[in-house]
Amino acid sequence: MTPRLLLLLWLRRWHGRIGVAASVFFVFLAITGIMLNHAAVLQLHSSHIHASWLVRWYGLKTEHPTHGFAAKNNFLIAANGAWLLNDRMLADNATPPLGMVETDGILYVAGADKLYLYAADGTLIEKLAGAMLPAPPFTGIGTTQSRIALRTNTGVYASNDGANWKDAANVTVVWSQAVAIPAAMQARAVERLSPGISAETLLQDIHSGRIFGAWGPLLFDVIALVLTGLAVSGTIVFFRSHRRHPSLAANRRKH
Amino acid sequence: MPKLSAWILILFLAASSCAIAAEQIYQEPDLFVAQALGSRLQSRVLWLTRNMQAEVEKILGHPPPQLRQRYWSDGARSVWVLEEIGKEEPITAGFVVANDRIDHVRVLVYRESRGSEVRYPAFLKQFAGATLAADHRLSQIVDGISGATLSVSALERLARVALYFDRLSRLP
Repeated sequence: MTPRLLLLLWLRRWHGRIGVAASVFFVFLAITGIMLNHAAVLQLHSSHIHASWLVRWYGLKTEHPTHGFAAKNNFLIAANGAWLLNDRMLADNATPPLGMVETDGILYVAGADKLYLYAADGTLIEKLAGAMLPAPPFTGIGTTQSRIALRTNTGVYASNDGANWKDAANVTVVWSQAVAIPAAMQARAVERLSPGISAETLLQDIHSGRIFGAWGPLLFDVIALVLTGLAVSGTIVFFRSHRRHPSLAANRRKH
Repeated sequence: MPKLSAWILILFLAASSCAIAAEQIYQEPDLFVAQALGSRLQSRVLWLTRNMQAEVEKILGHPPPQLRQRYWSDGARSVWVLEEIGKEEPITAGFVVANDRIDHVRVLVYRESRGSEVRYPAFLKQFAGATLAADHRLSQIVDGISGATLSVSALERLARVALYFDRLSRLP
């Protein structure tokens, strides 16, 4: 047996062994890759996993809400980059609210530079920003004689509808203040507002190895190199076999 | 050595392009409105009834994000600043509608990590002249952009909503 043939046999044997072991990762990468390619259809971005062990694994600190804002029979609680109004999660509100007031059945919630109008069931009526509001940043929201008032660095402004504002420097305003969350709501609020990891982020981190921390991508780099090695060894074995057995190659071509 | 420098440069550029995922404001919405109508007009409000919400849901594929839509109009033209999620983040676009047709479109704020090519005038001018056909479809086909499929689709949906809202705003 020639050294070249011995080398070929050795290469074929190890190609098989490593190939079987690597196939697990190959399948794993393929499945996560396909899922990420169709993330929009699978709505991975909007699906969140709230498992406490996963949140701890990611190193996220959980903020336990203690205070919220009350307006008539409505209660707004914010924590961990999310808002909860009357037990309904509100979308796209990452900044802490400054306060909440109610007039004519509409709830007005002020952010630092936006004003959100909600129905009591949590449906967004309108989000106001820019030239429709006094100059932000806002520092408070309140009511004055059935009008809404916004406090900014330049003064106090009042409006009937949230879109047309007038100077209200000499008007008495009842400002919205944070109050302690009622005990009956506390546990539910903590549960609903617990931080979560989006399914897409989790899959991306699994796919790239980042889920395993700083060493994860390096580990996956090694696996990628192993797969590259398998491609090279497979190509060598294929062409060497065909060169040694031309009749086999010709027979394959016939079929 | 020059080869190594070239590779480092390529990697740096690749990393830089990946990092551009922040909010890009191409034009302030207030400025777009003022520019479109030539003056600062008082905004108007369109309340969406249940039937209207159902129609918007057919166009967007999800319920409208809010129950009250603000717009600006000088009688002949109306201006709509709308938001729709492409893949993950909302795209803010401004639409000017005149005589039941889209006059022009501009991407005002882009927040997605990729697909910002939809802001180019060469793409956006495809919407000019489009009307609302049967089943709330656009009267003309808008060619897509490779790699920006979801953003293109979001803008196409917003164009249909803008035309639908414009029609509603003109109802007596």
